[in-house]
Amino acid sequence: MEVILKTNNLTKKFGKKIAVNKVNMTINKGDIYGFIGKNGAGKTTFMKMVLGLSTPTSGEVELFEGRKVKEVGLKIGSLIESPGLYRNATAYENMYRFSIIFGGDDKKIKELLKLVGLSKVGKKKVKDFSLGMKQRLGIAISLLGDPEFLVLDEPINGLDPAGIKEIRDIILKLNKEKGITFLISSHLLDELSKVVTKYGIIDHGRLLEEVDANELLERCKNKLVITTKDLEKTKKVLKQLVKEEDIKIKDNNIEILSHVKEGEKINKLLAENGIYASSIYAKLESLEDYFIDKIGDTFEKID
Amino acid sequence: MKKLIKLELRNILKQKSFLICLIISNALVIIGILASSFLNKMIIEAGGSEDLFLGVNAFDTYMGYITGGNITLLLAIVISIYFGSEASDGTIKNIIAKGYTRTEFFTSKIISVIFVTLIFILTALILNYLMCFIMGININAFSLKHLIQIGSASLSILAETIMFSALSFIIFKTGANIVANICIPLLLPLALTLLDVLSKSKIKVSDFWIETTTTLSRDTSKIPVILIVSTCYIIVFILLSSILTKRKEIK
Repeated sequence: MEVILKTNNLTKKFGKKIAVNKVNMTINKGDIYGFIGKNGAGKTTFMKMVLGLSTPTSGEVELFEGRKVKEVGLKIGSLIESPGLYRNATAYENMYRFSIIFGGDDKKIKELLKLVGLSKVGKKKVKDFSLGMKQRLGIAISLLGDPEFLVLDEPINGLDPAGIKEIRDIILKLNKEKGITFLISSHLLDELSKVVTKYGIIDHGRLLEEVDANELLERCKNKLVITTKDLEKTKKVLKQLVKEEDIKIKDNNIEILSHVKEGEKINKLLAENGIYASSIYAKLESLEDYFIDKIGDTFEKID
Repeated sequence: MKKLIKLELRNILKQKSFLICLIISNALVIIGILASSFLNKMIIEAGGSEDLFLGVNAFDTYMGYITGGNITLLLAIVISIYFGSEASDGTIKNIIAKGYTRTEFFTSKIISVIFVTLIFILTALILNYLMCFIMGININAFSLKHLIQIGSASLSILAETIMFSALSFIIFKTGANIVANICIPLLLPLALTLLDVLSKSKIKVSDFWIETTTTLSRDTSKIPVILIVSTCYIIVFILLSSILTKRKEIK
């Protein structure tokens, strides 16, 4: 499978602060890679290095099988932080100007403006656009020139729920129909989980984990929560049956990531060892719970 | 690169400040000629010598305008906004992310600035001669020598606009760009003159300030100096901006 993005120990320091710390990321063709991390975790800095907007302190970025951004820039579309737009120009004029270097003709511009719901804004200047409209226009610009890889930093920021759904549908459509690969960062985990095929979790500049969406769903399903008076003793007893790394003490409970369907057997084992559980139940962990558990902070939730 | 230049030309020509400053520049040409024409007529009507009026010609009024500093002041504003809006609008990241280097980006901007500077210089030239013709001012005095003088003054103005561009690309903020591009030409000559006075050296550094050399373009014997100084300014400021912005973080 073609590797679209590969970073090798990518590092960025600002003075003594390490913003991105030896990140090794791999994105294959067709992936929709969800890049998750709290504010200041290093997502935007990482994306900027991928796009050549920021120079790495050390490490390498390889695009489309070992090439540099200078060689393959035209194959990449991007939307980093707030969209870069000519404020005193109309949506069409913005599209036209960027089409000069990105590629695309009048037909394509109109088609993309329609795709993002901006075909009827007429002569309204970008400076008078709402945040959501600017975001949509930024996405339309990133799609000029039919890119094969799209890097979107918080693409649904400022969009209303209907707008979020539209963007989600666009992402899925482009991925399925045109095989476009995506690297998307977002705080809205529920929304991200509806499109993403692979996750990367970053915290304090370190890529903590890369996991497939399906695998993550599996992990989220498997959890048995046991409540007892003596958690340490319970854990010790459970080790007879369950691997130590699958046993976690959390919120005055014990969570087991395996043997979910063997609640009866576990209850019996505990009873035999003089431990009486006040409750045992299987829990379906949400993606948000999983990420909070990994990163240890709260995320924004969409209504 | 060709596409990038096309984009940058469109950007600067569509910029409101370009149109406004071009109108102001040309209005100043018209006002200058009208004022000198009416003043001379008033002198003649008051019984003054007609020789005074005959001494004025289209070439002198044009050289007076382009070496007077107004044109560079207006260009400083256009250039400051041109570079600054690229930073405030965040559009530079769209271009760099497509694989263009900062040097290519700056080069395309410099080409656009040169084009716009030539528009300012040429429209002022055409308008100046047209107005002089209308007002009955002598327009016959135009020779190769005059062409060389206009050429060297234009080169000097170009060197100044490249200096403004380099400073704007390094600073990259509209407000700060305007302050730097207006204050530096105002304050630096004073500082250099003060330095000359204090150092009592035979070589005066203030003579090598670009605006000083622009005003020398009426003196044909100084043209080699103008060519050398202007070329040095162009090279130094292009190199300086390339070095200082090579690893610039794009926000």
